[in-house]
Amino acid sequence: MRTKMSPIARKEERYFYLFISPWIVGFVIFIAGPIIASLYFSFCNYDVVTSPVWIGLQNYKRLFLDPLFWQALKVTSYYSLLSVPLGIILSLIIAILLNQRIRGLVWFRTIYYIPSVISGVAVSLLWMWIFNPEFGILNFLLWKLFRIHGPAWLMSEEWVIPALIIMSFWGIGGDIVIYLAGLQGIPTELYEAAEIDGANSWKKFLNITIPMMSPILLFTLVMGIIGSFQVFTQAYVMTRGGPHYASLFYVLYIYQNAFQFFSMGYASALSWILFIIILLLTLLIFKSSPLWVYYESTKER
Amino acid sequence: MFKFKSFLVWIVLLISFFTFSTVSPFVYAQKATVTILWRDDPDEVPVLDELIANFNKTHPKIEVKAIIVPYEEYDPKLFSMWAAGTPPDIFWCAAESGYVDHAIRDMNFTLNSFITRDKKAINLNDFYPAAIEGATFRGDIKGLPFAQAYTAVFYNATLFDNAGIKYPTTSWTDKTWTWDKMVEIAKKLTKDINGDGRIDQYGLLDTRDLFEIAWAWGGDMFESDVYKGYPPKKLALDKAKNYNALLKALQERADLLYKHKVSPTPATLQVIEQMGPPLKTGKVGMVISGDWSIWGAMPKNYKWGIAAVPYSVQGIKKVCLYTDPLEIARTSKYINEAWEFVKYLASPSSQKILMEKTSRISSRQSLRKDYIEKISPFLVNSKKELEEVLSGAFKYCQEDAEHTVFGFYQLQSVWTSETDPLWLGKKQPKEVLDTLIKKVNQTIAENLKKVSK
Repeated sequence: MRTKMSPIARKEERYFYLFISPWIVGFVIFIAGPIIASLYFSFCNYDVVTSPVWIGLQNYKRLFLDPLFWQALKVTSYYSLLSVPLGIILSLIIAILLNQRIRGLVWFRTIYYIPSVISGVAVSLLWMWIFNPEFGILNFLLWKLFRIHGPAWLMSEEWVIPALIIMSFWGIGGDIVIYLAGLQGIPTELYEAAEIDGANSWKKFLNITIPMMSPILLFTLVMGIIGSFQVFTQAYVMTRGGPHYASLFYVLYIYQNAFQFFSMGYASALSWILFIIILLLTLLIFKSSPLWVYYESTKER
Repeated sequence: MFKFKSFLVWIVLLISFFTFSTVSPFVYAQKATVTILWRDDPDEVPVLDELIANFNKTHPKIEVKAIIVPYEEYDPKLFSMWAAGTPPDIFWCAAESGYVDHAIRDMNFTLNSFITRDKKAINLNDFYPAAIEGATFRGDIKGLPFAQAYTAVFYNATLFDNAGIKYPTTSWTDKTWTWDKMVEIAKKLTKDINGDGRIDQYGLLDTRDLFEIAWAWGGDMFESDVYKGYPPKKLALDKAKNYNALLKALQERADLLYKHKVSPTPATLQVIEQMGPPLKTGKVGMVISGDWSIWGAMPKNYKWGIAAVPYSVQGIKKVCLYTDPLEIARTSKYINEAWEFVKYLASPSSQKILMEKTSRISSRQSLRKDYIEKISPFLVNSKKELEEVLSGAFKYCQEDAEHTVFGFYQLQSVWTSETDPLWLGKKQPKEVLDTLIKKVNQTIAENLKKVSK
């Protein structure tokens, strides 16, 4: 049963809705509306121009028979599986190094963060030059330093995804900053106590740093997976999904269907499948988190 | 005291005023606003603005407004404006979708009645017949061309001089001007100038798409009715003649890269393209392409020339023509007013302005002389030779399949992906062609389902 509100509380409630209304209206019109519409379109034959025709589950059936859907899923998972853990390990290592007490550290922090500020398209164009098999600096250095004939990178079916993974480390500055904040939040008395007990650096890292950082690792893992499943710019600018579909990322395939092939219905179905995949992965990580994430406020690990 | 209710009422009134005032019928009762969707081409937009300003001055009852969007967003913008119920009154095949894609979705207005009514002002016979053909859907004219592009061989004459080679012919019927001869010349033009073991100057770049090289080798990827606006049911490559033609064409193209080594590989081409249009960089001797190879200012440190496309197979010659027809939205509120502006843009005077400021060739035959005047100063060819090259380019041509084949862009994206391994030297033409046919046919079947519903 609802308790009766005082006039002041009621007035406050009104003001609450009044002041939050721009957001609510914006959310309903620009976010919730399109989401619901896309669910409807995913059951339709819809080319944007003519009105949608209901075709039931056909888009979803087609999806399972579409080799490019599986290719896109394969490419994206491959990328995600490698780039997310590697990115986390690399940024954690750099964050720990940047957390040492040495001179000029502020500069290093800035330098490592700068790449994250540059826009995706500019970075993509830059890396296209770096990766050029014949004139790029990467293959030049590989030859000069190690006498290795570098692969064709973006023009090789085998190497295009590893190349894009290497490129993804360009943007780890954001994670480094988060890890640095986390590292600085670990109480020093924990380390001191461990030192008294005779723990070496590795044991301290394993038994103090990692558990204390685990909530932050959980956050970056979830965000990293969501981000990696939504890769678009690099593929759109650098490879257009090629060569021979080797970098056909899922979101690029959605974009092609929606805005280049005029299959908005099919693109909507693809989007919903992506949503479900990301949702399941995120749920899985959250469900598993009690096993490896340590919160100070809870008693057990 | 603060009155909550009256405050809310005012807010609602204000919002609705601003929302509806822009589309209110009372505001524009006297003046028809005609919108035209254009791509953000830095050369075209100033000319468009100038033409619009002129038109608006002389037509007090019509106000033309341009909506400029980046090339990649042209189609998404066109389609989403359509979905919102506010299509641009005038649009064209500025991006990937062709006028046939628009016509099958019933987006463009049929112009036949207008053209008959304004026969004199339009003078349809002045347009290249192929240009009108390139705007016709199942017998109906769906757009009025305002500019063209044609296919030819564009070459760097200085590189020819340096190698001591005669310039290629401008005659389209010269039987000695063959593909093999072109490859021979290309070999002589391909050079490692600084001696570092890397090629610095390539002989030939053939940018033609698959359907064009199929034409050149005497075949066709599609049945002839497909070019008239009927959705393809499958590729015509099950016919031996077409299959063999395309197979041969693919082999020849791959040979340019890996056997004769006279064309840049994809990796090298990427580098060259980042320096500018390949011909203008001076890194390529000959380019087979649309005339965009000579759009804009040509670098003065080289001399340039145009030649006929050679015979790949004796007696057969067919190249691509690119027509830009202005279309009017079928659901436009101002079809008559839009037609006035389309007529104006397609008129000889407007096309002349566009041609002079952008070096785009007019779709009107009467302006060919002016075009030759415009381009001859930077070319080694005589005016007579240019006349010869152009008359052939417009005679042995067919409209770009991107404009005339339903769902072309999607099919093209399939065969572009499928031919990647061939251009990278990883697979053989036959293997590539066989899977390509299968994959494209699957896509065609999927697209047919969309149309039949």
